[in-house]
Amino acid sequence: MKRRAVASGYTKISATLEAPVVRQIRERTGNVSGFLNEAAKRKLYFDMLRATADELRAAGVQRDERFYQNLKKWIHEVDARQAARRQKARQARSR
Amino acid sequence: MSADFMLDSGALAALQRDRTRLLALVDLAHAEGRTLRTSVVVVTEFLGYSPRALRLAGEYVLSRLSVSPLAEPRARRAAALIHAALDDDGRARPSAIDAIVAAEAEARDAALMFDGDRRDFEALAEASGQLEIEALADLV
Repeated sequence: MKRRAVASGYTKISATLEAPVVRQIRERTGNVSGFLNEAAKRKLYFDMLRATADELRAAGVQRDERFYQNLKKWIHEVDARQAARRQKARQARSR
Repeated sequence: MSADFMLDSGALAALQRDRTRLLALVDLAHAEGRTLRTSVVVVTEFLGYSPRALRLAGEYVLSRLSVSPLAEPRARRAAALIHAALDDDGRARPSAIDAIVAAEAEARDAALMFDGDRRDFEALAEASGQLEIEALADLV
């Protein structure tokens, strides 16, 4: 990836990406700068979640482990069902 | 692609009262890159009916969530879900807010965690055909 400063506070980048990566970016965002902005927002959001967890622990809060494990099991089952639905939809489209 | 969490007012109220569960949710969301979400209408219901002593805790929980605005297409989809839920067997009577948060979860492929009337959310999930729901009470 090449970076080139174009104005204060901005950096222009150019990158050679594999076709599937570019397709995924286009599908998700419609434009690359939108994708980068979204990535920056996501990073800030997850930094905030980590800070929240640190803050709660510092206040003496202990994680409800049973809830954590049940939540994790459920959301992974959701992921699996959604992936199966998406695959089924793709197969139906390609027929 | 991993599903985000969508929370209804009841789930938010439960997390407002129990920080051990809030920490569990925040930890998992952070570890797996899942956003905690709700709809703007839930903000009104949740904060509006928060007991005075818990309002600050409510603001704390809410500030950790990404709040989706409500536009007409989503409102119309929520109305369609209510129609289908009412027509199904007539026993469920989901509120507009329940239906909007369900429509939001459906549109984002998010998993909806609720702590309210199970029959209403089950009817909305049935109407949707792809909405993933779970009662918070079943996870504890």
